[in-house]
Amino acid sequence: MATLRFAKTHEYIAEDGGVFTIGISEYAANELGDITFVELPEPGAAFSQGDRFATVESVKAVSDVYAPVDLEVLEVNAALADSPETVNSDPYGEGWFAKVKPTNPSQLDELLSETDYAAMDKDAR
Amino acid sequence: MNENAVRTALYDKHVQLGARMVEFAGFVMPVWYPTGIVKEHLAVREGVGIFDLSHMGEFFLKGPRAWEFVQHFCCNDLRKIGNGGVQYTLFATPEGGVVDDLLVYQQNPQHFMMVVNAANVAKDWEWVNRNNDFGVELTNASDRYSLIAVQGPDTEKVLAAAGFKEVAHEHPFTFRRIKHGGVRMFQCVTGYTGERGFELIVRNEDAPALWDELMAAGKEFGLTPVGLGARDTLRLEAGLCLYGHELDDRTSVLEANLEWAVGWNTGFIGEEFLARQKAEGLKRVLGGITVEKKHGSPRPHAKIYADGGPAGEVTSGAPSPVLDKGIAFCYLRPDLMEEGRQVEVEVRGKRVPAVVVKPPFVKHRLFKH
Repeated sequence: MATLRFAKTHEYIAEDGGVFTIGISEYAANELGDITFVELPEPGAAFSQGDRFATVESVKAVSDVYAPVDLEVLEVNAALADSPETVNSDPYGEGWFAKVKPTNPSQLDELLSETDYAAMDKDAR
Repeated sequence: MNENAVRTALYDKHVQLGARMVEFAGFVMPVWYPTGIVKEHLAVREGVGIFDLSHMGEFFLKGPRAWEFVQHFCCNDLRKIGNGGVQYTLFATPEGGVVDDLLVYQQNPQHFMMVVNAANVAKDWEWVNRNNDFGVELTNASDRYSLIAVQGPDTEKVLAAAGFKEVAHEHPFTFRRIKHGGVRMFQCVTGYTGERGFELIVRNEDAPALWDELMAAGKEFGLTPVGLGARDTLRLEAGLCLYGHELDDRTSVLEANLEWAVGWNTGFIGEEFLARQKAEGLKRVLGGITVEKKHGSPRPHAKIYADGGPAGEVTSGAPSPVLDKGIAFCYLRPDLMEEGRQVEVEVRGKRVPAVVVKPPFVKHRLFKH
């Protein structure tokens, strides 16, 4: 089982056997509604925590996705180009955005646990 | 959400269905149901959908000079419809803007109804009262009436199953006053999706039972509740203007490419301006662009460029569920308004290729094939 950690801006980073995968939370996917387009970075690109890492378009809106920690992109989910709706249907599975290497692993400890994220007051903005 | 936002008579139905409720024009309205915008949209194109449009405003007009009044205030040629006819028209201003776009319903030359945009009810009401030189008795019944729309190729099946007597969609843009199950309502062969459909205007107290009845009757046909999100993408695909986007008080009826709704030489408010503008030529005109799916969708206010220079601006844009690419309404320099013309549009801060098209993006199907 992967361990999920969350940024307050609704991105997750999943850790499973040393592999780190990022995406957006189920809550974020539900808030956006039907997702129709995902713009992903190039493999090899590096981002600092809080940088715009990807962009998600739903029918109604365009939203930025931020890097939850300092990271380097190893691989992106090319299948999202043809089926962006998997972000809605399976955000923690087939709807992943990228496999990454955290370049400042201590930042992982600052993220929210699954329980804390579930309890977070998400309407406070 | 603003706690003063008005709940329609169908509010509880939406909540029971699990709708995402948002504030729109002072009303709490469903923007989508758990089905999601894309499926709701496709249900209307391929099957049938049901909408709560009770936020729309209804005015009633009565008096010996009601016909003259409507022709004075509205730019379309009222002679084109008769009793039982419905017409798309606009309140134009003498300065070349638009107060609102609306539908007028002629019961007879002494009795009319107008259905106006929710966001403009107060402004429209003031507008029609300001210059009422015709002694017409005006009633703003917006908060007493609900509007339920059933739209899509299977609309007639749903109404037939619900026991409506007249369900043939042979005459788009007509209406009749009916009694269905003892309940009085306006049955209008109208809509804003580009598909066949009916709009039912009933008193608020009768709306929940009618909604339930239609939902039950429509079950076997996959009748799908549709929120304002898909209403917007449907009207955009169908190339239909939305006030506040394509139309406003600084945009003329001609710029909005609505000359088909102008009744020249009828003496309506704003005709002089429009005649002058037509003679002088337009500086911008409403058109459309499409963008390949891989670039995403153009959004309102995105700038358009042609040959490297500024060429216009997007007014509404979204992914088209039917065409599977980005579509947008935009104001363009008239010389660029040729089908297939290559331009560029800003999408998420980057210029991407776009192609000029003349809306509608998806053909209307109001008549049976």
